[in-house]
Amino acid sequence: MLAIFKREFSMYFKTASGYIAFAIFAFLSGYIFVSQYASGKVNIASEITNLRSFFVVLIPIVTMGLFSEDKKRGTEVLYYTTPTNIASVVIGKFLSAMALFGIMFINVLVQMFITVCSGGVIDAGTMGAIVVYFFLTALFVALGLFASAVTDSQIIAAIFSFLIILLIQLTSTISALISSTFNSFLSAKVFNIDPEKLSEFCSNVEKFINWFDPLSKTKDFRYGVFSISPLFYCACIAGLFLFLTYQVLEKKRWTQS
Amino acid sequence: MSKTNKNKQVVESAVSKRANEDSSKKSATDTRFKSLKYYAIGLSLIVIVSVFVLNAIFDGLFSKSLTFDLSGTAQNTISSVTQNYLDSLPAETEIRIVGLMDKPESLAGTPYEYIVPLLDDYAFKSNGKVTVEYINPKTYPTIIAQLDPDSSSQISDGMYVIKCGDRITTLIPSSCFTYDQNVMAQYGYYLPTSNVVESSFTNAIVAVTTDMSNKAYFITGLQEDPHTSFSNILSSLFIESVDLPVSDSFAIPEDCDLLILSGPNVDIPTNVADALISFLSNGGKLIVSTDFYYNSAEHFNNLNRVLNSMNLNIDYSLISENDPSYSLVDGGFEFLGTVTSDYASLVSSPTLRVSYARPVRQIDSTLPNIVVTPLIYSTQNASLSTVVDEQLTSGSVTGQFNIAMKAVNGSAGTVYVFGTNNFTSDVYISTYGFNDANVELTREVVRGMLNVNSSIIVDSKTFADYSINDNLSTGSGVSVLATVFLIVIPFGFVVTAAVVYKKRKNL
Repeated sequence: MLAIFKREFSMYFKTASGYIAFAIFAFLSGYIFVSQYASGKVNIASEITNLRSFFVVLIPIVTMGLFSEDKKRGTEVLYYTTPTNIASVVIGKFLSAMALFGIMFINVLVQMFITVCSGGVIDAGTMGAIVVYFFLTALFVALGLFASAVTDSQIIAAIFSFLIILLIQLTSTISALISSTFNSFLSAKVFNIDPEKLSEFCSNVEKFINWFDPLSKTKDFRYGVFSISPLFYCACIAGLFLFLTYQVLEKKRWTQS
Repeated sequence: MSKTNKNKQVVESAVSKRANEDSSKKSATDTRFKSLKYYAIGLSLIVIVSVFVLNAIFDGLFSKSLTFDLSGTAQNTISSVTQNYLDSLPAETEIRIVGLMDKPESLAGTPYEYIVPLLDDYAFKSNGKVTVEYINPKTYPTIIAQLDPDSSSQISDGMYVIKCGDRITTLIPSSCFTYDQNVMAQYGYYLPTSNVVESSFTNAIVAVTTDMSNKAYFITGLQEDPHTSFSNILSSLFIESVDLPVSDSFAIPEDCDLLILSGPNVDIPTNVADALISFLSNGGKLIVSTDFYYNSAEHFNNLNRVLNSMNLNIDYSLISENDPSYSLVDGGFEFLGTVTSDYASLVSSPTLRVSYARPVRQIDSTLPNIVVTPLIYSTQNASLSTVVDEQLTSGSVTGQFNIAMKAVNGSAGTVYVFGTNNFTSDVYISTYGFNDANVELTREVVRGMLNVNSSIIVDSKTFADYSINDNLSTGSGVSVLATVFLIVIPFGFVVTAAVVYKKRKNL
């Protein structure tokens, strides 16, 4: 696993994709930080929360090549023909991408240092936002890894993870839309449904959909409200995608044999 | 020929045998492959379902107990006061909080940043007693009629409606915060200083779920200041607030436990004065507050007739504090008044903010059986100003002046008179919040008048201040940061990416 991790991690610095991801992250975080600094109020929790919106671009860049690149080079076969444990391969690649996001985050740590030196505040909300940042990163990286494993093309892998992450980020909007559509449709007189019950039903539909939304679950961390349940959820979903990635690779191993 | 045919048959037979063997082998592999495939799909499905079921169970069992509000002032968590009140309500209580809007999604930088998460916490911790919904009347026009079939409340878009059974009350999001009045006066915009969201919603919940022990009437129709905040204070003491407009047929209802004249800017009519005198002589309780700001031309002769019946008078003057350690602004019209020893133990500060105060005094011709006591007074260095020919003229009278006094007559009729609105007005309370010492005094005055023992008092919550040192957020400082974070670092990575790409593109 360590060998895989080292190899994958070093690959980010031997190709342009790692540096491009660094550049995008540095520019976006820098832009938000400088804007806040110029206004005289710096809330790092707010910055980190905003940065999460850009996962939709950053995660595909970082994860699209994790397995697709091996397929392109033909080195993928080594995973199936050598005594390497596939779980180690999956976890090694996952950790390498996480480490890359960890290094990107140094930029934010520097900004936090500048904030403190400038008399600003780093409070529980900031810590909460950092915790959530890494848990969501884990979730999305695992998702990107899965996308990379299911297809031979880097572009398709990137588009796949982009769409799924976008869908997750829009969950609350989509749920509101679905609830509103239900309400509009069922409120027609022909159905003769009690408006209060209909409203309750639509509200429950919205809540049900939102229950799956990791962003909605973790939204209170930035205010300093920590909860184990959303973190457990993110960790479980990340684990689920890693497991599915493992299953995809296992299937390929049978095919090879 | 026959030998050749025989050989051919042998070869064909061997080939056929081999083909059969291959076929049976392939069939075995296919079967194994299929079963592995089904096993993998089945296992994946089981794991997916298990993950969600496990999370649903974990969420249901532990989400409440494993949630910790580590924020400085617990902005998004209901306090133990609210929690205890919700717990004390019967299990079948159904409180509906309906936001008449689409559910706000982008909360950052809006009032909803503090309202939406806190309301979620109400719903979460109330064991089903509180439900929070967002219904936009533009999308569902019938919702207002559903909530308030009798049109007893003035409900409109953007409000929160709090309903329990037939009782209903409303809150405007902007009223859930206190604002810096200096910024408002100087720059013309609202700068929130603290969050009274929980206080406002809890008081509203109390108002719709509790049979109020007392009833207070606000005399209205005198161009008076709004009294929403004062009503909230009364609600926290389980006192119902009702408006009582002045009219030709003005009469004080029999169920009136407390009458309040908060910040009138015109004098009361004669018939109202007569009713008040009668009310006090029969043991009624009255709170009067006024000041010398928007009503500087008003002498309050009728009001003074009422107060004179209790040996009190509000003078037509403006107190100016000349002691620099008590004065808060140039001119001394805003200053710190000292609380008398009788009341000092009831408030958290020995001095209270007073602004544009009229002096309150005991009149010379004292009536029998009336006990008058001061509550708040200025220093000996205060002076009085009056308006002469529409000009404020500083008088030569200096000395100590009373800003608030209490009088009790033989029939237990009680009147508290405040020469400033800093104890009752929305402007003051919304600026300094419900934890302010002035509000503490108001609360204690009401509590003492009506012998109220129970109360639901939720403190204001101050905001986290993310301001940085002004000297550092200058143009040059920002330019340096912009250069480093927006140009040097990102372009450094882009250049490195280009170099790496160029070097490795042929590998």
